[in-house]
Amino acid sequence: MPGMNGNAAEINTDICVIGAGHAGCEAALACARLGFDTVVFTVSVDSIALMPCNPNIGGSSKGHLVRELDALGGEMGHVIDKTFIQSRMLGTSKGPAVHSLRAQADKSEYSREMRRILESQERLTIKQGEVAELLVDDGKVCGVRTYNGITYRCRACVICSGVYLNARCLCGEAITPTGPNGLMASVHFSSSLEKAGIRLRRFKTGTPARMDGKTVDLSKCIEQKGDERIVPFSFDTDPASVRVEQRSCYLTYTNEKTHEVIRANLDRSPIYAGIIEGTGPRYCPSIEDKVVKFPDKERHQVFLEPEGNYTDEIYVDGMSSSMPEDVQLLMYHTVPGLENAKIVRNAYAIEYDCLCPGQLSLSLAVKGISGLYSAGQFNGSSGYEEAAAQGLIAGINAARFLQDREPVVIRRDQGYIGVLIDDLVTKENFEPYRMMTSRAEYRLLLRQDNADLRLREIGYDAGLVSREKYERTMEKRDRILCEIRRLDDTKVGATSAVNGFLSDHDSSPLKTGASLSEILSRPEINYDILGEIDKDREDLPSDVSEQVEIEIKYRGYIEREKREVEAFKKTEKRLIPDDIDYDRVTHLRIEARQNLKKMRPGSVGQAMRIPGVSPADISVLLVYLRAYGRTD
Amino acid sequence: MNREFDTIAAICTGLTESGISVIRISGPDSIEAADRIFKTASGLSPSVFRSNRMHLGQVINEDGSILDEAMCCVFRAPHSYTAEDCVEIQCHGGIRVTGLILSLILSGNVRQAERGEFTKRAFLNGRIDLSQAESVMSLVSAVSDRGVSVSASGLLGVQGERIREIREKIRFSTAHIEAALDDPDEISYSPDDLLSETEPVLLELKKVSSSSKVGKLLESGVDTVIAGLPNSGKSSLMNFLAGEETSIVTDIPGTTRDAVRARITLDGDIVLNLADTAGLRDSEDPIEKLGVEKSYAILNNADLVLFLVDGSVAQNEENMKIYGTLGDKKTVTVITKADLPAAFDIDSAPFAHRVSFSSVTGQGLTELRSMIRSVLDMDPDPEGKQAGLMILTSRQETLINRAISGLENAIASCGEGVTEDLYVSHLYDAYGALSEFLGEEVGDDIIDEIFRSFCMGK
Repeated sequence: MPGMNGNAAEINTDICVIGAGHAGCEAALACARLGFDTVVFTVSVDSIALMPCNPNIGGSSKGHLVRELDALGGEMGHVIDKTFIQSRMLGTSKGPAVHSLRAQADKSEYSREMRRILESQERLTIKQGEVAELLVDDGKVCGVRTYNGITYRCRACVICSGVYLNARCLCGEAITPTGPNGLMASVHFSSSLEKAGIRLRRFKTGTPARMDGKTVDLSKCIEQKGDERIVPFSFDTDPASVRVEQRSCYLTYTNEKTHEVIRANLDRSPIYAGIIEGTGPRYCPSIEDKVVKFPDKERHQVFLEPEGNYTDEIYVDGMSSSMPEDVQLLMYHTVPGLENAKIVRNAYAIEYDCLCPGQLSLSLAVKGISGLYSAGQFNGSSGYEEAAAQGLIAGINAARFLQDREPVVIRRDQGYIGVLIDDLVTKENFEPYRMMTSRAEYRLLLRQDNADLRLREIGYDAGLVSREKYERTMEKRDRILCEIRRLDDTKVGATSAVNGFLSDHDSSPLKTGASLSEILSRPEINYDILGEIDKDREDLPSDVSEQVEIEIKYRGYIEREKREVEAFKKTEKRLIPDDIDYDRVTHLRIEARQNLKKMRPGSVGQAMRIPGVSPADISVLLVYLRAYGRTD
Repeated sequence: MNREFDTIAAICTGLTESGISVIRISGPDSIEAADRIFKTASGLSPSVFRSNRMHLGQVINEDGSILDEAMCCVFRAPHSYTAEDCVEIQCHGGIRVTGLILSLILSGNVRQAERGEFTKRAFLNGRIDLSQAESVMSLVSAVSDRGVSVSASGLLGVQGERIREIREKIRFSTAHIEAALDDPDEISYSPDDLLSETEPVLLELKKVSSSSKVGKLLESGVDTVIAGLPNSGKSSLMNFLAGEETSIVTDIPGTTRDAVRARITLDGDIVLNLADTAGLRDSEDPIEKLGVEKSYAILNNADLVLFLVDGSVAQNEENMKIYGTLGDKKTVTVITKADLPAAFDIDSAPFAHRVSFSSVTGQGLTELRSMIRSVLDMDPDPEGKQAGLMILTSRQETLINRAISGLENAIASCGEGVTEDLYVSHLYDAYGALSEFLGEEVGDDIIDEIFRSFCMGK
């Protein structure tokens, strides 16, 4: 528990986490679990782990983030496994790299479950209140002060302010200075940050309307059911424990009428009327944006998704908007199934302050103020999963800062979390950043099915994964390696038994002997089938045989990515000194010089990823660094 | 002194007896070096010259005597070829004089530039991108008129533009696949999409590759071997061509060119590096045998063979045997001694691409020229080929081939039932190769393309 000073207006703690959204929850839990007294602030205790936008967790590439988070010792996976109302594995017709888990959440249950975990966490204090001021002394974080005038002395601080800083919601001409869902915005903290030398900018995002389910005609829509066989998010969850009565989602479409309504009222859209200053995401654009930017598209998909078992509200996925309420009614009513729908909550756009690029390190420390970390939408990302992933890393590193240990940095070849953070730190992202599989260069190595094998060890070293869980993962890894070796080493001859087996499965016969792994690598053979000619094999758990099969079947592609990773690591290892003066690196092109000065990369590899830095600039930099290295 | 930033000098023009030679000095001491050796008639030194202006003056020996009359131009950083301080001195040709001037310059704090070092500096200094750098390399070594104009278009970016267009198409396909992987609910992608999108691109790249082979021949000359039985008229043809066409008689070192006697420019645009060979006759004599073996080695490396058959003597087995060994080599069979009565029916002779020719009268020269063009697949109409003509350095060629195999692998994998999340990696390869060709970074341009071309997300 934070200790009280003699002065009642001052409370001592180790770490303050500002915000209790998806980033804040993970950050606060990590800090407390690593042994530090932690206070997590929220403008409303009822909004802990709130899902103010879409009612789902996971999806393409985001599902990867949740599994990685889980492997590292995060909480999101556990909570969604307990509170989902539908689950689907996406992309199963594609290769394993793009299989992605997505679950519809019961929003209220999700929020309550996370709150219960926070409440039961030792060393963690939840405090409702607006943090108004960051206290910095001699370049070091020393506390925060609430609007109510109480000072929390601390040695590290994690900002997870989401979309609340100077938030402004727009619904046509109706503009309110609130956070999402009408919650209180945080109106004082931004100026305190700017006073501390932190540069901020405006981003924008939006959400669609929620309909009263009783007024929606789902018979006009296409039903989308959940998977029969449910894969849990968490590696700790027993698959047998996740059987629930699943809810369906429903697909419908916009049409020309919808688009006409939008076009006719564009002048009333705050974006097109020029009222919105912030930059919105290119992913998940508002329906206005879709209609304007893709005028040839005759229809856009709309998914009707339940918000939970506790309510009739239906989320209209695909039609976020900042149109005025009357236009929204007209617009939604053109969509089959929504002709008579009543809007419970209006769609709106929200603008907020977030960090200008170039101020973050890969540890998610804010440059220039020691002990200050940040995560989530404040860092310019979008999405619950992106936020949670950063929250965990920022929390771990705030704790390690106090432990005087090197920060945990996940590399791009180790996880989507690494890709996410490196992109946020290195690139100037002019819009809220969303994770995408195409952003990961080594995605065949970064599969959702092997997140535990990739990251459990890091989570264990950090102190968030128990020894028992870690050893279980190590044992799994050994069994996989053993089995792959056995299949490589076990040869079968071109016998009538083997060729008979092959012809049974429409596979061409062997002419000479082959290893079992060669046979398994054939598209028409899988690990289960292979058992027919491999009768003495040990009965392996499905998560082991799944890995064996993937590693063997995609070996060529996997090996290739591994080679690329080796080359990548070399440039990552060529460090750039912190005090490099880019003005002295003559011959850098102006754009490159500006961007290098702004982003201050830690390695040549990172410099290579900065937009506007050409290979020629890298050569120049390399030459300079060589000279620099010599004179030093 | 750091080798990357010291001062270098070299003769930029070829070491031939041309009208004018250019010596370039680049680096921090270049103007000082020029001051040591150059003065205008009115006594001005290069250090006071305005940038980019030519000045007439004299090159002065160490003892104060005049070595040559010359022009001098100072280019101050960063507005020079290398983006460093640069001086160029134009002097009267002559290998000896030019060499003396260079050695005067090198006597100071200046070292001889390595091959391609000016361009390397221009590249390292961000002055030019990789594709331009290689065009400059080509420009330097281009030896024919057409070669020069192809290089010039590369310098102006035409070459880059064509590759850039191809690259954009690959980017679109890649973005299409990625968009469908990321948002499978909204965007679909099928193997048919791959074929319809990438096959035309593949074809286009193959055209670049094959036109490059033509371009390469234009640039460095077609290694041409004159082969045939003893006394079939090889030396006469060699002498005739060397006399008739523009030629440089020289010994160019190198394995295939050991036997080059002459370099001729056919019609002013196709350069033939002509090599004579020993007679190709079966022999027991060890010395002659050695000569024959060497001849075959040269033949193997040739781009073109002029196979000579004496038209004045009866056809024999040996000719057919040699002809057989040529296989699918580009070959023009020259039936020589057309001024003498024919000893066999030339019209029914079993040689493809044959011409009848006389080194005495020159009869058949026009036919020989056009036959050479046709065998080399070089359209006599320069406009026709040149539009698509591109000279590739070996590095560029490697990159184009990498792009080609990337596309081919993607199509093949797709045909084998590999899913698009995997075969898209081959498209990334192709894309990366072409980006490297252009010397451009591969940043978030695939992602930008996804958002530009596809409506993503709910």
